[in-house]
Amino acid sequence: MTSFFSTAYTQTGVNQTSLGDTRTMAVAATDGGRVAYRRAYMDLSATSLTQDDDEIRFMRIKSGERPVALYLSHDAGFDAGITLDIGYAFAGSNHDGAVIFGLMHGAAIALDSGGVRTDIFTESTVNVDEDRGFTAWEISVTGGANYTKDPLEAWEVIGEVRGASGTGGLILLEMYYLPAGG
Amino acid sequence: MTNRLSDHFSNPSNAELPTIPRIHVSQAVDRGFYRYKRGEVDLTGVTVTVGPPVDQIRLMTLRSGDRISRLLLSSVAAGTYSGTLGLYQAGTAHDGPIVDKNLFSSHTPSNGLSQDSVFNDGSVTNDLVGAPLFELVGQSSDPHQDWDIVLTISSAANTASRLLLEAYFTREGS
Repeated sequence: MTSFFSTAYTQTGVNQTSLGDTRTMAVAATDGGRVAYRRAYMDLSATSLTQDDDEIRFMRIKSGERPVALYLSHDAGFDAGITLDIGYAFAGSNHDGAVIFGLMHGAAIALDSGGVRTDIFTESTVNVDEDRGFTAWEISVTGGANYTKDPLEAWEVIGEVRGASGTGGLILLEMYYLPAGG
Repeated sequence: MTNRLSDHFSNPSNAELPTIPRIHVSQAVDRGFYRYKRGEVDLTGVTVTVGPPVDQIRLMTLRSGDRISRLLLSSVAAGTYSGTLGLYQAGTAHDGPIVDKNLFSSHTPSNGLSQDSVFNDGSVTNDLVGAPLFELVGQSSDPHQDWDIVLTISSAANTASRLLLEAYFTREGS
C-alpha cells in the first residue's frame, strides 16, 4: 500500500509518499483558518463608461491574502456589448497603481444580461479550481508575474471596461478569503 | 399557538416549552467562526493501484467533533482513476484504520471536477450539514480523535492527476 500525502501534511503535495523526518506544518490560513469576507458595490447606472479606458477599483487586498471564492453580481442595466476584465493592480498612492494582470479572474464578462453571484475565480481560465486558497501573489505568478515570495504590497481587484462604451448599471463583487498570516 | 423549538433551544428538537429545560447550544453552530481547510495533491502521471493493499490519498485532517458545511472536490481531467472518499483515523503517522471509507461516496477525479459538492453524495443526508463528524458515522458521542479524509483508490492500476479537497467547517470552542 502506498499513502499519498496532500499539502496538509507535506510541502508540495507532488507525489509525496512519505511524511519524512521533518513533519511539514501546513500554513495556518489553509489549515482551519478563519474565512473573511469583503464586499464592494457600485451604482454606475448614471455613468458613462469608456471602453479600453475606464477602470473599476473594487476592493483593496494584501498580496499575501488567499482568495477562495469571488462572486460577481450585476443587473441588466449595462448597455449592450459592455464587458469587464477582472484582475489585480497595485493600489498605488491614490488607487491609481499599474495593472499587475488584468485577466486574473475574468475575461470579457458580459454585463448586459444580469448575473447573480457567479463565482468568477476561474472565469478567465488563467486559474483552475486547484489554485483556490493560494496567495494572491502566487495566483499572479500564474498570470505571468515574477514573484518568488510575498512582496507585502497593497493590491486592488479591478475591472477594466472592454467590449463597448456606454451606460453602466449596478455591480457587486464579493470575496471570501483567508487573511494573511492565518 | 404552539412554539416549536429548534435544536438551538431544546434537546431533542421540536419540543414545546415549558416541558423541556433550556439548553446552551454548541458554540460551533451559534456564532461559530467559519473555517477553511485545503488539501492538494499532484499525482500527475503517478500510477495508483487497488493493490492489495490498496493505495490511499490522505487529503486533510479534521477533528471528530468538527462540523462540515461544505466539502468540495476539484481535479484536473487526466489519468483514469477513481476512488471512494471517506474517513480514517489519523493514527500515529496518518496511517490509522478505517472509520467509514465510503462516507462521501465514490468519485472519478480523472473526469475533471469543478468544486463538486461531495458532502452528501454518499450516506450523509442534507439535514446533517453542520453536524459533527462523529454523528455522520453513527456514533453517539465524540471520541475526540483526529480523522483524515482519504480517497481510497477503487480502480485498477492507472495514472492519477492533480486534485484539491476544500472543507468549510466550524469547530467547537473557537
